[in-house]
Amino acid sequence: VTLVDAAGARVPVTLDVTEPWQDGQVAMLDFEDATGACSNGTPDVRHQLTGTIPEGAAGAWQQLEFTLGVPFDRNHGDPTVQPSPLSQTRLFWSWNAGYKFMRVDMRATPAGSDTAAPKSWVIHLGSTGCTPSGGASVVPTACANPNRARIVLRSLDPLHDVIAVDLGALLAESDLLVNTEKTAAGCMSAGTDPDCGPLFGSLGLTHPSGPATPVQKLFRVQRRDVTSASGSAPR
Amino acid sequence: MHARARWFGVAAVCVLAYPVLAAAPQNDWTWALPAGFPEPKVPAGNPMSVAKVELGRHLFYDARLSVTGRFSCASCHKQELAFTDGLARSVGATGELHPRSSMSLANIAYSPALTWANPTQRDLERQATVPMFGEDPIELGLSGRERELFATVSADPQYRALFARAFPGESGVVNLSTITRALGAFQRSLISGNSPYDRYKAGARNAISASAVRGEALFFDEKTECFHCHGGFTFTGTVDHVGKGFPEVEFHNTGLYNIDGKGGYPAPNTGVHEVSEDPDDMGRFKAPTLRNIAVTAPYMHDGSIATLEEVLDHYAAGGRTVKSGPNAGVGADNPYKSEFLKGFTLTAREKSDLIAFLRSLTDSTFLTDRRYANPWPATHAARGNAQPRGTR
Repeated sequence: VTLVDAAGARVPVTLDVTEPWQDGQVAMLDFEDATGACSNGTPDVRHQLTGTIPEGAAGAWQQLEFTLGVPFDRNHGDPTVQPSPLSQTRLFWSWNAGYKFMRVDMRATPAGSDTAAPKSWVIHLGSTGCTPSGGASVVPTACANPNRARIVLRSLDPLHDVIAVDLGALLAESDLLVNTEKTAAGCMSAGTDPDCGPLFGSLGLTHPSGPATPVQKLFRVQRRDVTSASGSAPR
Repeated sequence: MHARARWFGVAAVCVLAYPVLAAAPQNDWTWALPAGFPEPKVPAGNPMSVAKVELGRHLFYDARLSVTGRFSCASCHKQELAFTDGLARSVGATGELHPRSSMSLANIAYSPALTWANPTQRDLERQATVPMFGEDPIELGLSGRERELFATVSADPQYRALFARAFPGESGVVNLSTITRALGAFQRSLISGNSPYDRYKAGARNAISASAVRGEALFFDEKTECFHCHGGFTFTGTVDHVGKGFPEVEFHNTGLYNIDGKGGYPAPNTGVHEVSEDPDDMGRFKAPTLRNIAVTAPYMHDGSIATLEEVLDHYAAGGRTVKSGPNAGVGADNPYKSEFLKGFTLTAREKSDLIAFLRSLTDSTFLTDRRYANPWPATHAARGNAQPRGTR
């Protein structure tokens, strides 16, 4: 997480260590509360990151940046020994030797239908095409598609704004009632899955089925609503 | 000067602490290896011990290591079938059909690449997190349930003793690291090298039939090319061991499919391609060990060939032709096909000789060795006899 001031100076935010949500380098946000389609989830939720900036660095901020994803070394580190949040097995993506950077598990029914069986539609975002280049290497040495989204939010007023996570914007160009045959239900980050194209586009990531110039839409800055408790900027 | 004095202080503590750690009974493992078997490589972080293997055996057979409490590693890896399950495609704890067939665990200690076609799966400890926590497909179904898992294991008095003996330097702690290390140690202990063919090679000339002897010659002949991918003491080209220098990892397209005329395999079983997304990796799978192959039917990554005779027909044809249906295509024309799939002709006698040779690779002592068997009493909850959770 980095803040950029009015003069363009970049100030890194040091993330707190707050078990189980943050380990100082990686932070987890959790919006499901084990209700609805998330009955296998957990009641605990987390809508904020916390961290510090050097004393005296406070200024007129114009921009906030962060990465949606896990740093390469941590992503391919040993999941049996990493601290939380990288010990959360719901975020393991072991067959790809890494973690899910984002998971959204949904069920969709046609509008107006009370009887149609809900269809599963999930988003599992993570690095793909990860293979060891050396014979003896245990961990991948490179991923063809890292799929880490660098999020840049401009015109930010940290005292009066919050960051909204807008699932509607992410899904705006996806039809959750349709899944391409012989692909994962929804999008599990496969380069061969056309359902990933619009989602990757809305995350600012390139994808063979996505737009040529992707623009991230999932995160946006909005004025703090006195009744809202849906997030806050790093303090 | 002050900083230097502190350094000496730290060094003294280390010297004092070392004999205490070294007293733990950790180096009591001796490999009882068949003739011609080199010592397996063991990860530095998980040395073998008798206690760790015994703990791993209990975990491997424990049905409480699943979302339903009725399913264990052994559900898909049955000893009497050389740790396969006899199904074309395995079925997970929740009834989900796996895309692929269960692989034998015989001599898995020598395999530097695990599962059918995943070059990222290199050690058993990390690989265990796939069946435990994977969701596509669900195998043991433990994703998000690690706290319940640790609580169940910690509450079992037998496990308290087993973990304390297996991990004395870590106070017998129950966590994902100790669980997966114990599972890895048990699986490495699964050594199979006492087949009639092994006894024949050791000098017992009558251990296998004359037909099997002729089959051996055919197997190692350039006519059939079998040995190129199924060579060495493990009868697979993917192998590593102490003193080898470097591991060998091989994946081959054997012309089983060609659904689009461009070499395509039916999704999701596109082989290494599924992981790498590299078009050249289409249909590349690991050659499984041929040890105990007679008891691990059906064959191929998707169990799509029922018998060894049909497997030989496939290789003799240099690839399989699927005449109709969604997977129709001429596998022999697959552009990614291995150069060793050039086809051959066998007389009826040669075919039965090859089958006799393959059958001579069955190690019946491995299939019945009590050291590898289910250690839990028949009435114990670990057997999975309990009612599923949430029901009465």
